Formats: sequence, C-alpha cells, structure tokens
Amino acid sequence: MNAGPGQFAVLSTIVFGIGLFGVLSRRTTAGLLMALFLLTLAPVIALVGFAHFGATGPIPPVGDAFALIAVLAAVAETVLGASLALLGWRRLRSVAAVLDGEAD
Amino acid sequence: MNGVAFYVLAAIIVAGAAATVLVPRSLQAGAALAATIVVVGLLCIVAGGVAVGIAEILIPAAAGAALWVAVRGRGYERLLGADAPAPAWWFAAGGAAALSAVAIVVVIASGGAWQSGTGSTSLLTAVHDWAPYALVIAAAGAVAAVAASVVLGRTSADEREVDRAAAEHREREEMARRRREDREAARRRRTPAGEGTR
Repeated sequence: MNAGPGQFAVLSTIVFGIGLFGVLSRRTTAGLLMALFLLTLAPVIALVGFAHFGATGPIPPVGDAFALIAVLAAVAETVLGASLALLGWRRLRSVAAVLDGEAD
Repeated sequence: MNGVAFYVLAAIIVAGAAATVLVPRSLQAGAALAATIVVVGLLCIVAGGVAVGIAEILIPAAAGAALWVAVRGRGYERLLGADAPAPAWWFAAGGAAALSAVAIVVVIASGGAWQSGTGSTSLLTAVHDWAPYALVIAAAGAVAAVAASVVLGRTSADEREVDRAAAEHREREEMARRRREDREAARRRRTPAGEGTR
C-alpha cells in the first residue's frame, strides 16, 4: 500500500475544508487566526506531496520551494493579525470591540 | 511513500485540524494547532521534504513562542477566552463540506491523468534556479510582518500611563464600595430589628 499525489491532494482538501469551516464559524480573533493558519497549511501538504510524487524523472522540487514560501507567508499573516488584535484590545479595552468593531 | 505511515499521520492531521476549529477554549485549540503543525512537518519529512518539514516546525514554533510571551505578559487572557459557535455554524459547515466535496471529486476524477515519480534535485537548487525572487519576496514579507508586529504590539509610554491611571481608578472605586458596604453593615447592626420601618 503506497500513498501518491492523490492521497496528498485529498488530505490537503480535507484540511482546507476544515480551515474554511473554522474561518466561517469562529468568533474570537484567536480562533479566526488559527483557522486561517489551517487554510494556509493545506496547500503546503499538496505542494510537498506533488513535489515528491507528482512528476516523472529527476525534476527540481519546485513544490518544496513554494511550500517554504507558503510557510513564511502563513506565519507573517498570523503574526500580523495577532498584533493587530492586541492593538485593538489595548486601544478599545473590549473583546467585543476587537471582534465586532464596537466599543462597550 | 509508505501508505501506513501516510494514513496514520493523515488521521492525526485531520483530528488536530478538527480539534483546532471545534474546541471552544482558545488555548486548547492552539495546542491542537501546534500538534497539527508538528505532524504536518513530520509528514513533509517522511515524504522526502526534509528542509520544508523542519521549516514547517521551527518557523511557526518561533512565531508562536513570541506570540505566547506577548499574550501572557500583557493581560490579554480575555482575548483567548471561550469561543461560542457562531449562530450560522451550520451554514459554515455546509459551505465547507460542499467545497471540499467538489475538490475531492475533481481530484479523484482527474487522478488517472497524473504522472508519478520522484525528484532528485536538492531544494537549494530549486530555490536558486526556479524561485529565487518569490523566496526573497516571501522572506522580506515575513521580516516586514514581524517588524510591523513589534511596532503594533509594543506598549508605548502614554499607554502605560493610561493603564496605571485606570488601575488606580478601579482601586479607588473598589475601596469606596467596600467603605460604603461597611458603613451600611454597621448601621444595620446598630439599628434594632423593625426600628428602621417606623
């Protein structure tokens, strides 16, 4: 029993779907950021799987390179989102303000 | 790739991802996400992408550690509080399930047209020859994001002053409330029962 690009693609799709559900259903800033990170994690799985099992012959692992870039982008997005949430919390002193844009 | 290893790791990844979006407490959800990231990194390593797997574990770990220090040190616990499901969670579940189903059907239907094999060139060569600009731009973007986060997340002197004034105000209010309650209790003790209802 071997795993090929199809299995990686399906796993990536499932993780993407779970992340999408989280983005649509989570209400706190932390939950939303974590769900967004899952969304960006999904393509990394597909890229690595395709890079190592999705082509014939010795080709450069471009998928690996782009997976590396996707990891950097995901971390940058999460860190920036978290700092914006902290800024909103500090300025408005309200969880509702950070979540809904309303000061209490 | 060994199928057993793949399916074991895939099951853990799916369970971790589901826990990340379903667990109500943000700290537990964060732990589930951390576990998911580590297992995805392991999957990358097992699949042959050693450098990507290590980066997948180390870069988020460093960012997560910095975030943890910032959140724990400034009293932001309420931001990590319980996360009640949104009123339209069923709509979110339906949308995500429908999109996933479409993507999986497309993957399965087109799987026969794929080619299989292995690559042998190093990641460094690929990055150098194929994606140098993209990598540089992404790295620069990450550095800029971290710098912007430090600028946004820092506490300036005027904010510390406002924090201190607010804390003193709360303390004064609390002391005044206690004094009021003490006076009220003393008055009740002095006044015999029924006398106050003349």
